[in-house]
Amino acid sequence: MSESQIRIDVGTPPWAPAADARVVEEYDRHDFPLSGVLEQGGIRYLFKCLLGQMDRASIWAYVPITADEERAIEDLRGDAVLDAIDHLLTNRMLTMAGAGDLHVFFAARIDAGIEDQQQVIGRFLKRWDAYTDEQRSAVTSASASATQVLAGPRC
Amino acid sequence: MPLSGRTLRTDEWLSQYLSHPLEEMDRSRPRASDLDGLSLQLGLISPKQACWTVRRRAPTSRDGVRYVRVGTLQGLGFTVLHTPNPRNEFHVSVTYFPVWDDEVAARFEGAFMKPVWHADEEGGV
Repeated sequence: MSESQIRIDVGTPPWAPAADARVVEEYDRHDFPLSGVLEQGGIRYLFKCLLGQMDRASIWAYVPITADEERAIEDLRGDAVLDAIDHLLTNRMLTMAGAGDLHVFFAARIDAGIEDQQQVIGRFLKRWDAYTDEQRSAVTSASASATQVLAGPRC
Repeated sequence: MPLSGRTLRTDEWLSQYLSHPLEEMDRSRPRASDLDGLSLQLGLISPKQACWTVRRRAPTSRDGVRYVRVGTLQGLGFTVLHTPNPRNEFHVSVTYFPVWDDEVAARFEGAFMKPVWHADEEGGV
C-alpha cells in the first residue's frame, strides 16, 4: 500500500506548506524551522530543508513519519539528528518543494532511491525545470539560483 | 518537547552567520513578515563553524560571521533568549516588540562588530 503524501499549496511557507499544516516538533531552526515534524489531517510528516537554508531559493523534502521513527529521533542531539532524518529520507517516496523567498513555487513527488541526496535534489531540479513554459518563466531565477547552490561544495 | 534554555549573561558573545555579502541579503531583520525574529549562535564561532551549523557544508568565501554581546542587543531593546533545539544546543533567538521596522533594523545592524569572512581567515575557496 502506498504511503499518504502531504498536500502542498503554492505560495505557502515551506515549513507550513498548507493552511491545515502546522509544525508540531522542531528539530532545527535558523531564522525559521529547518527540520521537524508537521501535522496535516491527523498524519505526521517529517520535513527538512535540503538546500538553500540561507538563500533566496530553497529545496525541501517531506515524508510520513511513524511514532517509532519519531521516538528514534527524540533522544538524538547535534548532527546525529540530521543523520537520522537523512536516513528516513532515503529509499522512500518523497514530496519535494522548491521555494523562492520562503514561499513554495513548485512541488513534486520524487521516488528517492539509495542514491546521494545531491542526486535526488538534481532529479527534483530537472522536474522543476520541466515545469510548464508559463510557470517556468516565473521560477527561472529561483531554479537557476538553486542550481548554482547545488554546484557548490559538498558536505 | 522544547528544550530548556539557560539565562544569558549580558557579557556573553553571540555570533550571526552571514552567507552572502551583506548588500545581497539583509541580515538585520526577519526574512518574512510572519517570522518574529532572527537566529544567532551562543559564543564566538568561526565562519566555518557557523556554516556547518546552518548549512552542514564546508564554507566558501561567501560565508562569514559577525559578533555582538548579549547586553548590547538588550540595551537596544531586543529580547535575547537561549532557545536550544535538538540539532543546535547553542541556538539563540532575538526578537523585538512590537514591530521590527527599518529603524529597528538599523539599530540591530549597528550593534555588531565588523564581519569576519571565511576568505579573510583561511584564504577561502
